[in-house]
Amino acid sequence: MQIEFEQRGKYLLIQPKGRLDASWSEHFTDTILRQIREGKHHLVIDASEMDFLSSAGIRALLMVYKELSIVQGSFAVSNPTAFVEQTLSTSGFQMWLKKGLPEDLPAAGVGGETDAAENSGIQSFVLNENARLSAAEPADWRPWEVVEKERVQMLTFSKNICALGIGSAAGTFEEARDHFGEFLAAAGNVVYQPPDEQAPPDYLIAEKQFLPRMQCVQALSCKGEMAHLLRFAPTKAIPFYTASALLKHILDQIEGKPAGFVVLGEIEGLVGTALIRSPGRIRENRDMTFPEVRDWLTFCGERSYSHQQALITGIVSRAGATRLPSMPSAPDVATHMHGAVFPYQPLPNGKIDLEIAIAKFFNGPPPLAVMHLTDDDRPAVGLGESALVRGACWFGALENPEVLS
Amino acid sequence: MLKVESISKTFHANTVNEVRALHDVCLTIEDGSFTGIIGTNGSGKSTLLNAVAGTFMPDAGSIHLAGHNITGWPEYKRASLVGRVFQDPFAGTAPDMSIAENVAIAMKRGQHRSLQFAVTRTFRDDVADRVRTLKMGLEDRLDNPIGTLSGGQRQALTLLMATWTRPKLLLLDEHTAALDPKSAAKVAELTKIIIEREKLTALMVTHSMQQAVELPDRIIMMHRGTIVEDYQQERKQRVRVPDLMATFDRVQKRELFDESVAGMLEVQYC
Repeated sequence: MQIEFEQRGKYLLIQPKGRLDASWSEHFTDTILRQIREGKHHLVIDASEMDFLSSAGIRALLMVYKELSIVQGSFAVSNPTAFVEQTLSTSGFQMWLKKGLPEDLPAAGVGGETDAAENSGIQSFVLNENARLSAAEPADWRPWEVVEKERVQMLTFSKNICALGIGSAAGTFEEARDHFGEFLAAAGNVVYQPPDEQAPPDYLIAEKQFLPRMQCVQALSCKGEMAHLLRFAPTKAIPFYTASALLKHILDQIEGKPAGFVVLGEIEGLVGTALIRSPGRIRENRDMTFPEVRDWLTFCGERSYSHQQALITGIVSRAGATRLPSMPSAPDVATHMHGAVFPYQPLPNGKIDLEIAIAKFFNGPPPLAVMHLTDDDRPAVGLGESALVRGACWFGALENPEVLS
Repeated sequence: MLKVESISKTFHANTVNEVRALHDVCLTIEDGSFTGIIGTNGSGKSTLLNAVAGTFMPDAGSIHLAGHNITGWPEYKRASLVGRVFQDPFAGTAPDMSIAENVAIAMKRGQHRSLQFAVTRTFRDDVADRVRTLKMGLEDRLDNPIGTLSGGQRQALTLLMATWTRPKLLLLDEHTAALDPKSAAKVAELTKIIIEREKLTALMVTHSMQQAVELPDRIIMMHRGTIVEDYQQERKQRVRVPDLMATFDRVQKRELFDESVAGMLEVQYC
């Protein structure tokens, strides 16, 4: 089977030639899903040269259709051969069939990358000019202090809070003492990494009366509504976006004010660290030096989780405007951010809702990791900073940045 | 029972090529246990197997097998207790001799050999019966030179020969690694069948995570000459390939976490 593609306006015209059967269905599915992953969400299959369609082929079309439904795309099978038309009609999939090509499909050779705003580069949306976002630092443990019970805060994460820090989902301080690890929260969902190299991340989802609660030794949070949305996708010149590039975009849009942000995006590579022993086990304030620090922290060692999806929450400011540490790659930008890794799922294009987009990941396959993102600037061997290929970034200026001073 | 007590081995000591292959390795393998050894390249897994087989003498420590302290025994003497299958299907057999003749030699491993006809009619019948269990049709080719067999057939026969006299310990050194996927799967299946049927104590080095999960009842992971993980009983039962991969990842991450990483995190982890 040969598969040819032609981008025409917002549509990707796909021309499969030959038999779509068990031998080719897997290849067909993989090829088309790759296109969806690249942000092409309006597909037209020109079936005029599709000689045969088996049940395996129908299943392949169904998988593509389902994936497009998730991202609010469109799907049509145009100009089918008599055999394909009869097979789809009698199988109950006649709703895909179209006699001709869509009316708004531009002529051949016209529509190369006319949809650049949707599929490539940076696209900005103002969600609500009057949205307000306030910051708080309810718990402020610093490495490697003794964790004192009276400084641990039980925090509840409602849907209008995004946060990051170190905490445990245990009910009491005594139960939590050995289980403090990195977490992040967004839109009523919390994902946290137990401080155990062998334990997978766990998560809590706000449902009905239940709101996730964490015993926190360290927490930075933003409460309110995100005013802006940034969509980013690769271009020929920019194959991916580094964390500092995205953060600079945020600061540029809100005149350099400190901001809270949440990012969902396909990972190019994440660089970060995570606790593997709970700070609750520290017996006295101390400096943690090498090699002992290896018993407390794990470091990714390589740019990791490529092609998976990251959920990142954080706070950003100009260096010096807050006490956040500046990024070695961009010394004028200061940030603290945590990232969680989920198995890849495509995001719809355009203006999308934070709560709905995040819920899809928490209701899907379980998370793979949670880490404190770092910018590895070591000469020669440094891994650099985390980067994303495409995704969405919600953010808003903080109305009370002084709490971070 | 195999008991390895604090053995260490350094090759090319005190030279620029010094390799600390084994470092204070302790391991006890109960009778009837089938243990798999996995690890990165150069982790010491084959070195451990060779130390048990007597290919070299350890610098320190002792090895006990079936109640004997075999630490100082030469390799040929250990052959009375140990059966071995190598990675190379062409090792461990005499290619110009027939299947029956190779089996006859294997049967006398570690024993006194005298001048008499080794391949008798009764013996041939016995060999045919055993070879038939391989289900490869080799029972009709007992007089064929073993060198005319395929790698998979040859490795299956080697496995049969190594276990013919029920050795106290069977050592398998990546014995399916040089075979094509179908032959490797067949030999792996035979390995499990023979070890279970004969209730053998076995130690298998493998690079295949799938094989490590499916064949043995215990998995040992080695890294830089030491044992870093030991999956047995309930832990072994629930371990899956991704778990082993994660453990490898963890071990390697720790190694990459050097002083420069610590310095970077001192500034950024706050």
